[in-house]
Amino acid sequence: MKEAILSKGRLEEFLGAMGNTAAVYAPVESGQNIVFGAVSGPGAASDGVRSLRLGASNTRLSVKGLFFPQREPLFSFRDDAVKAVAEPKAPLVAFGVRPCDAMALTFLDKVFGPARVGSLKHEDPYYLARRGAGTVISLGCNKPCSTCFCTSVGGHPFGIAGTDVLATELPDGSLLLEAVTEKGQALLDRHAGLFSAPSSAQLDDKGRISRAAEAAVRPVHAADAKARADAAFDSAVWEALTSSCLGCGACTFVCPTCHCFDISDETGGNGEGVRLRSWDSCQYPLFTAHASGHNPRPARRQRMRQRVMHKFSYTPETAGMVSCMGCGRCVAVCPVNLDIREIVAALGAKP
Amino acid sequence: MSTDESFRPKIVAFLCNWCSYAGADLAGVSRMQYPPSIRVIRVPCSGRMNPLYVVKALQNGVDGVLVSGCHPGDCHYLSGNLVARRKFALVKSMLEFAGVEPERVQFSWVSASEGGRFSSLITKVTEDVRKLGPQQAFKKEIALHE
Amino acid sequence: MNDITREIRSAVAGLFEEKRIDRFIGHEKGSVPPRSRPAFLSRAEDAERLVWDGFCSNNLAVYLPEIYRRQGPKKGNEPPLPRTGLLLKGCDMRSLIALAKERQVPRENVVVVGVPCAGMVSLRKLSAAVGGEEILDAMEEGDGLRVTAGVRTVTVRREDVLEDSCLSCRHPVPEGADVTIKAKARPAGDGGDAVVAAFAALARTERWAAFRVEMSRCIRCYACRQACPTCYCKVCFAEDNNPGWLGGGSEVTDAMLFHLIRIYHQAGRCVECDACVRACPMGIDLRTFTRKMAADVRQMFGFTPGFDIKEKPPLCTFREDDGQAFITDPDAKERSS
Repeated sequence: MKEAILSKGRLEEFLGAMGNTAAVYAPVESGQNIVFGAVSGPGAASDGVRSLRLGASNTRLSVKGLFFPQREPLFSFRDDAVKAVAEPKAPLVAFGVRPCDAMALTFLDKVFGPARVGSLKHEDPYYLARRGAGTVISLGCNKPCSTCFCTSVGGHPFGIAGTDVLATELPDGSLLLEAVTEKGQALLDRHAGLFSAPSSAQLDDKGRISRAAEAAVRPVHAADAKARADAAFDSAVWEALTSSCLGCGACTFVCPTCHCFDISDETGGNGEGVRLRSWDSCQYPLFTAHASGHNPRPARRQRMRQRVMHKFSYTPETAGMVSCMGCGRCVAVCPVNLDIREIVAALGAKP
Repeated sequence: MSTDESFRPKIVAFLCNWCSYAGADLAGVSRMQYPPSIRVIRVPCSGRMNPLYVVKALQNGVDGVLVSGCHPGDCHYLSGNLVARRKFALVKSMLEFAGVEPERVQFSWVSASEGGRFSSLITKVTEDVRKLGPQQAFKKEIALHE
Repeated sequence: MNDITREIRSAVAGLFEEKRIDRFIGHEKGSVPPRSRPAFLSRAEDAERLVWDGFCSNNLAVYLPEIYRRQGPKKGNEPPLPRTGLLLKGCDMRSLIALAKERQVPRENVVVVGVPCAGMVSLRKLSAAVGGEEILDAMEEGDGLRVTAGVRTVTVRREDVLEDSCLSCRHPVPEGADVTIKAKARPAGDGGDAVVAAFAALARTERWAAFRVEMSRCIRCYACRQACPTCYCKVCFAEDNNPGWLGGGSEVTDAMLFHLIRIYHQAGRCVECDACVRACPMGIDLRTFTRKMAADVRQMFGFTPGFDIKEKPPLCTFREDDGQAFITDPDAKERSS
């Protein structure tokens, strides 16, 4: 069935059932935060589903870490022998992904996914293997928070870009599941025994919730951001807007689309080691430091300008989409409350 | 806690060039026996020690770390070991606080003429570390998975 | 607007008008209620943006090393250094003194407007006090805060939602400020001794487990380091690749090494302002360990950073009678353990 109802109180059962054939990740508590953790299947504790926490508006770290890990071995070596990392074969389910994070995956697909650049074909086998093995069940945002602005950047609190199944929490406590892709449909079919058909009242509820959520998302002046940003590249407005930046990089780490990485080798000293890929950040001065000592972006305001331009001006050219998803994490996490919404709105405005 | 007699601990010993390293040398030429557990790294002065080396050695998988310098008052550079004493106190306190076994990281003073003391020191430290068993807690696994 | 805000605005406008400063760094209301955030001002008219409330927790001394960093060797023809005005609390002031002591910032180029601090509100505690609902507004009224979250408005006691660092703060009054605003400081706390003692009382294996769990949350974003005023190395040891002490990525022993050594590098320099704790996106408990280091420096060497510019840093000096009970003496008679 394309739409299914999971009755109130049966979510843990559903997550547990999916764990029989996949590693299931969902929002769980980690210290003071909510992050994606294993709730059932390989890697999860036997009562992992108890640690599920769906109340928070969004996880502290985005879902990108499941497909593009913070620390990823690329291959191992011993003396002259190179051994590739085994492709992750275990299927993966990411449950409770907000639509902004799901849409972010469509952007990351463009970065890592198969593409032709001239005569070169490039694709990232590590990302693609995880993405292929992964099924995304997103959860619509009944209550967007004040830092969300997905609707101003092409998203929607109940958007379906990047997801395989869209889940909606209904007022009666049940969960409406709507298959978006074939993969999502296959997942629903596999567990059909747990579901019932939705009533028309329930479907109406979903429509109502979706429209209310859309209206609750605060609009941000992101219209023609690219044109305004391009025109303002040399403007003094950057200094005014970003002088308090600490260069801490927290924004890039929590961002669902930031994907810059570093590659390093780690050796165990016996001629064996591993080549690793790890997250990097354009906010660090070392990011653009040349071996000569020259740095084309020596000042923090230039690095913050780069981040905003990348999201709103460069990726529309290279990937055909703005790569800010309006998730608001960078706004929430910035130690000095730098606000990308304010920056984008201010570009091109009269001083 | 291991009483496995076959476990031979690996201990990195940072020895200051003028006193402790010379003391170790004296133990050697005097044919004094001590367990072959230490790998020596010679530093010009115990003041050259950086806590980073201690923690990095643990991360590399050694079972114990020993740092030894001149007795206070006898430093070849006059006060290197006196400032080092402060650094060592802080490092030892912090590592123990974080839960590292106190016997894994030890500091001592051995002079150039104290071959016997050096030999006793290594014997003692080796036995202390052997009883604790291999160091796993801080060891970095260059693993292919997280 | 409270009296303190009014007085601050007037003082800062005056500093500009008297041409004592080229710029001023203070606090203004932020974009995510109820936060305040750093404000960079360049004219007297901008002083109207300044506020003072329980959300002005940012340690503004963090901007100083970058402002006064010399770009190359002294040639003698450099333009005069800028004069920066700064709004500082007790902890922030001590960061400034620590930086001045290390010759990173010329004290004479900084004009401090000091505010005796009544403690800053913890956003995390405030959020918990309203059941995790998103806070839409928070008004300070006397000893309480009227908080609007979701559809409710509740009043919470200030004392119940203050930052842990402020509850235990020993030095809320910025000593040596150039202009001191009239404000009532909190009574001094225990400096975090209770937190350190509680952790030390755990069994060794429990301490290690707790430490490892906290470190496993670290994503190595370095926000803690960037937020710290006394972390100003051009290239941090963590990012050195020759030798490469740390690997990239979030491996747990690398995180342990990074935090242990960063906190060690802060010995005698950390003023316990908790900027690192607040900046951490993962909410890692760094406080237990920063307080331990500060307590050790206090107890072993009688040194508290941030008061005397001329006093030698504790790790640049020594006393003949510094303690050495920790030294292994192979010749000593076996003590009964």
